[in-house]
Amino acid sequence: MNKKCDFQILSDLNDDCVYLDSAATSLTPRCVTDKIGEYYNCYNANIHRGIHDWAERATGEYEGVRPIVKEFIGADQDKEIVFTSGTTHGINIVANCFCSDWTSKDTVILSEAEHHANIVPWQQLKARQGLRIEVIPLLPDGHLDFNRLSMAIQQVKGRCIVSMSILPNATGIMLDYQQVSQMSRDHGATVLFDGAQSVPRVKSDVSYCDFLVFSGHKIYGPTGVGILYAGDGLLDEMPPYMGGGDMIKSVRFERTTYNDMPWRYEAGTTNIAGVIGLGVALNWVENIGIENIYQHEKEISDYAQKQLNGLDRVSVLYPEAEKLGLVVFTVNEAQSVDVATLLNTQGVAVRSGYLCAEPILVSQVGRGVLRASFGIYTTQDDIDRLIDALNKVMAIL
Amino acid sequence: MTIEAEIQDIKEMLDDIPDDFAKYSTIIEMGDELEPYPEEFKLDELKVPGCQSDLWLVAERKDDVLHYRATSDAVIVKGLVALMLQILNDRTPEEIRDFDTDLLKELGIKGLLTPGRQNGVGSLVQRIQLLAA
Repeated sequence: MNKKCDFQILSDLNDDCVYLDSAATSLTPRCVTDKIGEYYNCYNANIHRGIHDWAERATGEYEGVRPIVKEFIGADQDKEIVFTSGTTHGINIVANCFCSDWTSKDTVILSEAEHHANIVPWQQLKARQGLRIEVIPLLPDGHLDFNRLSMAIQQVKGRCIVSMSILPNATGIMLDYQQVSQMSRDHGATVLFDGAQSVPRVKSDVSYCDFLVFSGHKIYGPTGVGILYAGDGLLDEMPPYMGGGDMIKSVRFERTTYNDMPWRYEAGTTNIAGVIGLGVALNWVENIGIENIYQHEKEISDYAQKQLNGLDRVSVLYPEAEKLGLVVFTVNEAQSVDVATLLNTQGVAVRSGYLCAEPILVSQVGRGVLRASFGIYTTQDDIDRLIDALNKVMAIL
Repeated sequence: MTIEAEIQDIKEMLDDIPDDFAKYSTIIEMGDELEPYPEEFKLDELKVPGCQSDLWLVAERKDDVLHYRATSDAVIVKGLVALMLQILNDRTPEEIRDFDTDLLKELGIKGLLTPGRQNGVGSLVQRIQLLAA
């Protein structure tokens, strides 16, 4: 499958560039950038306010994205879909609203493989309210230690939320999310899944969770927009995260009445163009078929891991585990920042450093890493270019 | 030699190198020539922030000039450090303070001073000037 032609950025202008940083930001197809341009060029108005034609159209286009998202992730109702600025925003809403009155009796359970967005909001809550944080380690093969998860859940005395990434950005190893869900729900725990890396490449099913968060810019959509799925009733009575316009029914100096779901969590003017662009991106993905994307990325990930495992000086993180969408590795006796800088001179763009997931990488690797990550446009030729460039780079390092 | 003349010399040397990969190879070799940095000075308080790798800098006054020693565990950064010290080392505090960092852009090294580049050179130059204040 070669979808490069759908991406202006991969056209003749940049045909020397091999983009292997899709886990940070996927590229954006022309249909999405065209739609964003159409909003600004044809009906650039605010939503839910004006009664003029442009405002009506903008509102219609914006609200029209909610059912697209609902269908995409298998939700039941439009009101379960909250537009956010991204995954980080979504997790912060859950931490600050759903868990607003949680105390030292209550627990959040995380995996060792979480990225900072699923660690820091809980630490902030702990600092304010004394919430307990339990971290479940990974097994030596990179999979979650379910015995430790079981023990941790059984020891919970108060309320509990299990918050985990379905596809951690620092391992590329799929979480057995169905087992996490069952184990958690058997003990009455709430389940939040971070789908930032999984929603773009694996069929999503929100029947396994209470909350699902993901970002537009990792699923071929714009930056600065994302989704919080909140199961029916979970956030309806909670105090909203931010106050402002559009999230209210009425405002007096004496008292404000908050709006209903989902708008009570969409304060102020949201990223209208971004939401509209995300709708097009999801339709584009749907047209290709998420199963086809999964299959393509599985093949690319397997190929990349095999090629990297074949290089003497390269150490792949969890080299035997099946990867999806990304492979993390280091070059022996070379700093990742040097390797990434030199790969860039060869037209190969990879991520280096701690991948916004310091805890797992500090414990498992002990230094910065390199990450090659893939999208629907990544080809085996791109991986061959990476390997050739790596060989050239390693010759001088 | 003035700072401007030193930059011009290095610029001419780098301009003769055909591509970025070869330029970085030369910069890495420059790092090999860097004055040894004492292990006991690899202290957290001497680290320069803003770099993906560790970068240390220490200054001492020698007569009227400032002498810097620096190093990094990343070889490109170490080479860039050598290049910066070739330009700025053993000069008076006034020369260092008054030096216009925009001149470094003339070296033509892509992203040398870009904040997002995370090679720490921008922070290194800032720290060098701060220590001359």
